[in-house]
Amino acid sequence: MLPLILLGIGFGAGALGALLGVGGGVVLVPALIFLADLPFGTAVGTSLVCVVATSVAASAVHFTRDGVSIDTAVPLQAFAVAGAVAAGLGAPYLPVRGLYIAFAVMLLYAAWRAWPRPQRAATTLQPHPLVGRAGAGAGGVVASLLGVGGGIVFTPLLHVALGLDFHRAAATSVYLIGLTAASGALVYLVRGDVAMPLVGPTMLGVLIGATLASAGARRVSASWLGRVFAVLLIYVAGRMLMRGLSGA
Amino acid sequence: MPDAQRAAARFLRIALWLGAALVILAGVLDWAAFPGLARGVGAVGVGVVVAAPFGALVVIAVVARKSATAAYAVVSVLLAVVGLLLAA
Repeated sequence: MLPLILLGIGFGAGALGALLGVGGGVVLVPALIFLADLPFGTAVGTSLVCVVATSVAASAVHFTRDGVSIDTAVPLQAFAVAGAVAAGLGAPYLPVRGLYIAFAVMLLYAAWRAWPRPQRAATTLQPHPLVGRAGAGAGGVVASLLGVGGGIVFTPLLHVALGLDFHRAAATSVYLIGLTAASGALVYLVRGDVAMPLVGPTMLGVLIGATLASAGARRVSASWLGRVFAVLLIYVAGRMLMRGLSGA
Repeated sequence: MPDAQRAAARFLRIALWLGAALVILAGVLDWAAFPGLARGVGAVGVGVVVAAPFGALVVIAVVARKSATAAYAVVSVLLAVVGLLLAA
């Protein structure tokens, strides 16, 4: 029964990830903790592998449409990878309760971002190059420490700070997510912090969901989806916060 | 860089289908009571998908033929390899 549930969760995470420009880890990590009863570190490693699958599936579609801003992504990718590797190596030395609380805070931020609102105009300012690079490094740290792709950092960084239009920012973010999640996933794989039997069904669901959603991304109005997603995230944030505070 | 993007898309699609096929094959092998073989095939499938973003990076660097793109690609791959070695 668990493989079928994971297939369904993977499908939902892949579709949401591709539609909203995030990696899907905000769904996968809590699902793996609460449904598959995995420890936090193993849930993060397993999620990262599946997040790579989301990125690969969605990036293949975005690349076909020339939708990724390679010129913007290239200078950022090394900093994102560096952040992801550093956080992956440091994660075992951090307190798990703190990571639960950090994840809950990140979920609340993701819920706030997912709630539909008028899109902000892209900036016309030329930010200092260090802003983009520091932001990419921070995205890598968040991705690898919490098992999400880093899209909740990359998408606003590319759209608001670096001036890409929203669809191009989401597509470029999905590409960067693949590199950061893969860098982190390699560290977790080598350490044995990936539940391989659960990866298969979850990854397959992710691949199907992300491929279908990427193909129809521009036809879907994301406003209702954003509202449902935000409510779900707030609920999960509450559960993660309770677990972090109780230490259970 | 539309040529580089099209080449990267082709590469990712091949990696994706290869990885997915191996993961499905692992599931079939596990169901047919070959757990050891299933674990090995599944690990290769997952490895193909996890390595795909770095492969795409190299494809973009080669097709785009820009020295800056190639330099950033080399640095990114090296950082990931260093992380891998430190974790091991």
